[in-house]
Amino acid sequence: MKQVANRRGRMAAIALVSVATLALASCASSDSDGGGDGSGETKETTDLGEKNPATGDPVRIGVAAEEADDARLTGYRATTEYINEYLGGLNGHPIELVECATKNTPAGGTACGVQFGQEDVAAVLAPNIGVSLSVYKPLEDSGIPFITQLTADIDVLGSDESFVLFNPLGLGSATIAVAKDEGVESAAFVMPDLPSTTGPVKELAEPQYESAGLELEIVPIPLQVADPTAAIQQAINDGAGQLVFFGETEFVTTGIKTAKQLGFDGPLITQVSGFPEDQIASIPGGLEGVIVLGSTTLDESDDDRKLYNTVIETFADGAPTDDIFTTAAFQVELALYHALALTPDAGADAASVMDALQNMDRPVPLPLGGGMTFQCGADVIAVLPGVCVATTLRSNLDAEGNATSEEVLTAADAG
Amino acid sequence: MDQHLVFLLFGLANGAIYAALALTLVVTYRSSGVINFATGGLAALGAYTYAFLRRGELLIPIPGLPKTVDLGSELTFWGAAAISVVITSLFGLVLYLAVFRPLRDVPPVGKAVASIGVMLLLSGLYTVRLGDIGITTEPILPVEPWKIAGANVTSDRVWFAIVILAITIALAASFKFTRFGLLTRAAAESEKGAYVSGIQPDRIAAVNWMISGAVAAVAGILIAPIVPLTPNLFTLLIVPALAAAVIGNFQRLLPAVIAGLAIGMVQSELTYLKGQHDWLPSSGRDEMLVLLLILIVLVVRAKPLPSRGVVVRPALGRAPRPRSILLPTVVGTALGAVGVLTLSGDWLIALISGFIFSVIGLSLVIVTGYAGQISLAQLTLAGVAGFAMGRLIDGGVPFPIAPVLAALIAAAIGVVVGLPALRIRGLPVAVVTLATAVAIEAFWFHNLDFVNVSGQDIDGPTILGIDLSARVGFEYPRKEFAFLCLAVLVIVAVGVAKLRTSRLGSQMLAVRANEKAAAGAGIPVVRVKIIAFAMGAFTAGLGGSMLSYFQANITFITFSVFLGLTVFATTYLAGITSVSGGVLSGVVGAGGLLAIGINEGLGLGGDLYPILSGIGLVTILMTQPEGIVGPFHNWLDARRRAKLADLQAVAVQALEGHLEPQEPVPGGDVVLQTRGVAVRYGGVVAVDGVDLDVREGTIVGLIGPNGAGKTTLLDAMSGFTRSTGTIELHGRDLSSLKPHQRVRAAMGRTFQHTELYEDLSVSENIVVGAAAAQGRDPKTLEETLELLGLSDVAEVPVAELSQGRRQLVSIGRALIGNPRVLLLDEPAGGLDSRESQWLGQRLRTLRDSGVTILLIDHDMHLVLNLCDDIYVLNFGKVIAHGVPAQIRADRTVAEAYLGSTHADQEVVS
Repeated sequence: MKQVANRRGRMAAIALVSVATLALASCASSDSDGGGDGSGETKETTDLGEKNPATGDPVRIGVAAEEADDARLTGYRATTEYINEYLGGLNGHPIELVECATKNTPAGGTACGVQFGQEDVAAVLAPNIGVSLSVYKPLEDSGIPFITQLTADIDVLGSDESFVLFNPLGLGSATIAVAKDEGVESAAFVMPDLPSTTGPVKELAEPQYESAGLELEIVPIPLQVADPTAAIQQAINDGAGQLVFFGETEFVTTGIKTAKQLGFDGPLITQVSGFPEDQIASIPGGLEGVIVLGSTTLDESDDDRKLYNTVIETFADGAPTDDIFTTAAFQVELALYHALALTPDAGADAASVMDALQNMDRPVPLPLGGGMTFQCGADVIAVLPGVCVATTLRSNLDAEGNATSEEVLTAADAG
Repeated sequence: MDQHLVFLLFGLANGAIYAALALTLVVTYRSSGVINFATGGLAALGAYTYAFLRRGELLIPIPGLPKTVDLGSELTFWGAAAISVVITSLFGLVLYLAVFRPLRDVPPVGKAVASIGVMLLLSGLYTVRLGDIGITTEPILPVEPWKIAGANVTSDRVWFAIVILAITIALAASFKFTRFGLLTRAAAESEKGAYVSGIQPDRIAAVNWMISGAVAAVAGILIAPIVPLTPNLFTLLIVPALAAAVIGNFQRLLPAVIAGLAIGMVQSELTYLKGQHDWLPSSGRDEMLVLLLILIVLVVRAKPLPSRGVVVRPALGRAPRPRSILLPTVVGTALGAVGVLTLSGDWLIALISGFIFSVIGLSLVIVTGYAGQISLAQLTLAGVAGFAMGRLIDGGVPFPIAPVLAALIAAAIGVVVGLPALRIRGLPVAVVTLATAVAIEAFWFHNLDFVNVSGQDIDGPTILGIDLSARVGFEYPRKEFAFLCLAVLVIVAVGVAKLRTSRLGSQMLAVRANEKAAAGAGIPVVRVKIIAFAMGAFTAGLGGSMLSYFQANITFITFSVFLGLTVFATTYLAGITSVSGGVLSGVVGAGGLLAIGINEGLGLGGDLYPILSGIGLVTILMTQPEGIVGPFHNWLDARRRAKLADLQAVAVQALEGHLEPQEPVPGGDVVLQTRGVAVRYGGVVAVDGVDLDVREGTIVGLIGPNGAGKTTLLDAMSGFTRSTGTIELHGRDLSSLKPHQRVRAAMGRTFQHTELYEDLSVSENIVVGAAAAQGRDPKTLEETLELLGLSDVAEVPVAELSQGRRQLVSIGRALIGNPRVLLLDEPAGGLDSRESQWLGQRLRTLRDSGVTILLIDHDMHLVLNLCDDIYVLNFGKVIAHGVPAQIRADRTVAEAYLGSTHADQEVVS
């Protein structure tokens, strides 16, 4: 296993992580009828094309959820049916899902990792799992590919047997790109006072800002402080040119609202991609001018979005399409399909899947990525062999939270 | 200066939130004696109902029914608010009828635990019904940006503060000036008095709970536009609200609300100052401020919370003495081993979890069950050990040493946590430990300067080459680790059982029962409390270390304060005063066998454990003050009583004696002397310059009408009250000595209300007093029992003795310390005349064995026949002094007693 020799380098390259999955608990849950992007209109769909059923030997893929039947599983199940019926499976092999719910406890996460191993799955998909490190540990050095997105765990990022479909450096580089674009020289990062949120910013973004010659202030908000006005005003007093909000949807909504009430007119940036309608309504001026940095397109007219809507509508019986967990499940599973398509022999077992992922010979479009690509095993980020994505998607929002324009930010944009 | 003003104004938003919740807390406590941890849940109900009504839906929180009902059109603010307030106040009424009325005579800690149960129930309910998504509402108060010193201060926060203040003043005025308010205060002071005055406390309480609900709803509704509602939002806000309520002593509305506002404002100001002064910590600042405030107010004030004038059941249940340790240990270990061998997968995980949480539960048995100190910080202390262990293992410290060392570190922190308990008592200790836990979590577990981003990885444990870890490859959970946890649990359980039967354990129980009496028996109360906290923290630390090994990675989530509250509640539920309860707590706790049984066995989906355990907690509290193990203890007791049937007959026998009249003994040198002793309480003079001599080898009586100052004088002599004048024991000035030091200086004392330790046997009760005999040879237990005629009932629990014998046990406790002088406060209290005489005989025997006695009593016959010298007190002064014959004939004494009573007795004797 290729280990990163330079531990300091790895430490310096820890990615964004949210407060476990809660940080991504934006957008309506399956209970609400709200539109995650606020549009509330009927979603555009597309034609799924000719059926192409998979006929080979089934291959088991492990998928992690937090509760039985949660929104993640909705996404996986629908995507799996689509792949098996219309895309011919993974290089001909129909996917058989092995589902496990972590109950969001470390013991539960470990149990899932162990279960995946015992069932000898060919790959594990575990984005948006609060205890994903507990799921990963049993699988470390087991030869089973571990695929995820947001993570701060060095072990995952530094391993060439795990595959992170997200750019962990984006917290620094993408916000720096925005700063340069908008002519801003200092940023304040506002997040809940928890190691999982303050850590990545300190370890990662700070050094990048230093090299870029920009200032960065970390503004942690204690959990028992509901209203962050004082802290944000203090940050503005200290000269912050842009504010980056990093946390759960509710936290970010409150932060954006406060910043606008204080009359701050610099860029407001966040990683949250879906806001419930009523939260948008509570912000003066709505989400006008807010910049989302992530890896999922918010453009409803995007072809991938139409495909996604269709898949969910067809195979998930009217489940909401704006749940980010469902979206991420679709994104990651379809990405696996496209990655393996580069190696037609792969797909029957963990070894071949691992090999295929470790040797992607060219970048592949990231589903729902709005133009982003991914390429695993290619050292897209030098110090982090596990990372497959080196770009970040910038979405500019209007008042209702729709994306008016998007662009893919690369490392070059950070200067 | 302007910037300071700006930041203080910013802080009004948070401050008003704390103030609103504090207001609800105080209203509830004043009227019902409940510190309602579920206040947040009530506020959430009001807020959620309001938010949904504004969307045109009626929220239905009852499981099984549809989540919302469409009303067709959205409601206006006033409509939605009014309905929400009504619904929440009705829910308050339901809470009263279903939970708190049945628990009316349960002590305050029990009611607080019930409220924790309700909190868990509501929190679980909201999570299951509403999910995690935050719900916002439109602004209610005007949101205009006011330009102050160049900054935009939105007006809504100022209005919020003003509205809360207005509501507070209105409520305070209505409590003070309306008849209903008067009735509320009356019923709170004395329930019996209320009944007698024709007031129905029940109805008053019901209305007050409805008011609580309404106030909570208003708080929630006003908070809703400021921050999106999530199920657990309010639980985090409860601690600053508690701090504000504490500052108002849970009684005064306006101070509590102003305190809440102040906390918010000061926190905001500190944020501003942090910008100016780098040395302020970036993590934990706000939480430590709250803790500091609570500490300063409580420790400086050192007043207990006003308690309701109700006769309550004893504070905590019995702590039965284990008859034998071997059999339960063998049986328990065997059961545990069978579990380990037969279970696997999720069930084995639950079992292991249970072992570990049982260890933490046992830590609560030590601190709260035995020593009576309510600690809500045990899980946090476990976390201290967990994090410490991470560092130790990183530094290469091997298996058995690392967890033990980590537990020692936890013990040290535990002592610090327990320090406030030296000065305050009862439920405020709970509030302080909670605030401390929150502060530790914020300052340490959240702080990147001390912890890692992805948590701390923990490997092992291995010993002598054997790998005991929880997981190796895909083998999980491993039986080796399960056995290790079982072994740790067994060792801890045996240790706690041994503690119970040791002298230290008896001392802890004595402190729990009555600190004053314990001090009077010569027990070093301060030292015992500190040791209790240290031992409790050490045990919790062991649990924390095992938890770290189990999870192989430590983050703050494992040891969250919210989970800590749950642990306290489930341990109380299982039985916090006994080893069996502590062990059971792991089984019924979160993540244990019961939880998995409910969630998987019932197959209803979702996490029902919090809801069902909340209900279970409340139900158990109503019926079993000792928790689930209560019936088991009762059964054990019944069996034991059957065995002791013969002894029983002797024990309850009334005693008959006859006190022969004797010539008074002149006695030897003066042993105890007071000169000019005076005690003043504010403007009241209770004892007004008393000179008194007690001669060696005599029995001196101290009599006088009620309120003459007799007990106060005794209190002054034994150091429980400040006094002026001199008190000398064998020529040694006692004025600088604390009570337990005077006891050790050979002054023994009993109290009017005997305050025996019901769970302990006669021998155990007496032995507790042996600590007093420092520097002198204590009497032996046998001697003491002989002298008092208690030998035959030595092993009987005092709860089963007749009143006469109980008095003797009380005397025995003071006697075993070999005092030179024994002060007895109404030793014949509750005895009929024959038992009195018998007591008199025993006292005479005591005197003849060389003990000098000073006694207070109302039984004139006894006193006049028994004493060698008598002082008569009235209005704090000595009005007569002499041998019994002289006192009998003294007119002034007769007059002091208002003639008739004494005159009768004079004729008879």
